[in-house]
Amino acid sequence: MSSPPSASASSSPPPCPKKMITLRSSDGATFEIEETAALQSKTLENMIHENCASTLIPVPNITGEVLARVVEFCSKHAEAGVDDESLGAWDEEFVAVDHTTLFDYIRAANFLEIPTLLDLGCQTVADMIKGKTPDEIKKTFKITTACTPEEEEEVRGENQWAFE
Amino acid sequence: MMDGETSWVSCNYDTARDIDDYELFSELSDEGNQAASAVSLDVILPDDILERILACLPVASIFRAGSVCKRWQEIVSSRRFLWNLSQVLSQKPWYFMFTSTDDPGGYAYDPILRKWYNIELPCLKTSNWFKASSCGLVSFMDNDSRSELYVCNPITKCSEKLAEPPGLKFSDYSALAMSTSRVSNGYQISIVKSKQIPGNFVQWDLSIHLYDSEARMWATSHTEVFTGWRAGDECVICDGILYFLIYSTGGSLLENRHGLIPYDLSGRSSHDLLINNSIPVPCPLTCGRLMNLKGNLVMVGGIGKQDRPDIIKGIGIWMLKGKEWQEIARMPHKFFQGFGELDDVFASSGMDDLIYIQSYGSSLLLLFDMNLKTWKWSPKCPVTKRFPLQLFTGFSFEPRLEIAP
Repeated sequence: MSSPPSASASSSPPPCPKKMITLRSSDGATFEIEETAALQSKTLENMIHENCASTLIPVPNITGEVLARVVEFCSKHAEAGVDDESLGAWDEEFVAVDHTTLFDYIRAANFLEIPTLLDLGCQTVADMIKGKTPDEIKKTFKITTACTPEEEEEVRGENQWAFE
Repeated sequence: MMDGETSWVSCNYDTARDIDDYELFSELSDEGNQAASAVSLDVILPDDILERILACLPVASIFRAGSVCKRWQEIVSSRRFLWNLSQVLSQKPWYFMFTSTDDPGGYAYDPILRKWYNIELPCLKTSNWFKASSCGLVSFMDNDSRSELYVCNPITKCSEKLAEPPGLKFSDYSALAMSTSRVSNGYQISIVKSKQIPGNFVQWDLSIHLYDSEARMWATSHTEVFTGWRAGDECVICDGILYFLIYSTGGSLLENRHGLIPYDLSGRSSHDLLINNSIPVPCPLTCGRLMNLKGNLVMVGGIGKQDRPDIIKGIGIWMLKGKEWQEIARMPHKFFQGFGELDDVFASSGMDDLIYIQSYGSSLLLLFDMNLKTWKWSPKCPVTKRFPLQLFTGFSFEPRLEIAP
């Protein structure tokens, strides 16, 4: 039996349900995210405002695997009442992944314009470079194209102190 | 004692990961399965992201990154990268310690990588020149005729000689300060000169001279005669206000023989007598050092004994709030003792969130973090005292690649 249209008219209005947005990854997987969390992405914010009627947003550049994690990040950072220290610890765990995945997060954060995730990712990679010698950096990032000795000398030049 | 504490920078987990990376790489020998790792990882990242990453690095790491490969070298030398650098605050102030009384040689301490670098400072001829620093620029003035003044970037070695400062050529005391705008990269330099009026034991001629880098000109902003007080060599500019310490010249044992004068550089109150606006120091001091920490005036002072104000019994840090001093910290006993013999006068310099304190008699360097309120020795400076009366001194500056005079 269907309920009368104004069934809820007599009771107090229900609390506003959190608006959910659905994101669809490049490989067709869908993920739900609260609108407040999605607003952390400037790209999504623009899309939401332009496309008010629809709640399904295609994200063609990002695979399901990565998108799932990005949604997790945004949701966590939109949560109320999380203190800085625990959020920092959570972030540290979030980026404790292999290089390829980390770079995927960074590229996703760049495309979706999520400043917090982009800064976190970039700082994490910078921490991998910090303090290393040029050879160690090459090994870490598996860079095979090298500078010629002349090019390297040009960079060292007056800044030999930085290489000691 | 000194290096037992854990590192401030939170890369503990990174170190563990880096070892894993290295081992992983060494497993994939040249003959082995290259397929999985054939593509170098940085290819996946576009230039603008790589720029952002490299802009997070401490200066020494930026130079090393520039010699990794042609692409990275092009990135760190691009103008856009320099712009990136000016947008982030990845650097912490360094402390340059002079290791000789005559030549300007010494080492610069980097608190991020916790290393001492043997860098050469441009322009400076002896270690007793006046120094002032702001936002990556340092100004040096000679200590003889006080007529040679240079502004430079100590990292890139870019420098410019400025027009001779006006005013008394042979003043008894001079104090040099500098303020750089992060927005326009223009700077102001101020010199406070004091000269005892001949034949008069208590009167001193005070003059304040300002240089503006955009106008490229000096102006004498203020002159006044002080009675019973004189300025010295300690001054700093904070948020458009020049602060300098004054010292009592009277013979009587006043409770406070130090005072602080604020001077608004915009010149709004230039007709008032400065001495009427002097602010007393919070307690008898043996010496005071002024610094600009994020726009706040901070003083590091040697605390003198009530009855013997020339004997140092501790070191305190105060911040000026309006016209009142707020005590931020006192050096804990173990660090005070750690200096061994601490003279009543010592060197101290700082900016942003970091304060450096150094005894003239040794090359030990102590750091105070304003955020964490923690004290910590630096790793030992690679210099040894060559003779018993050798003095060490130093100053701090921000290492910035993107700023030039």
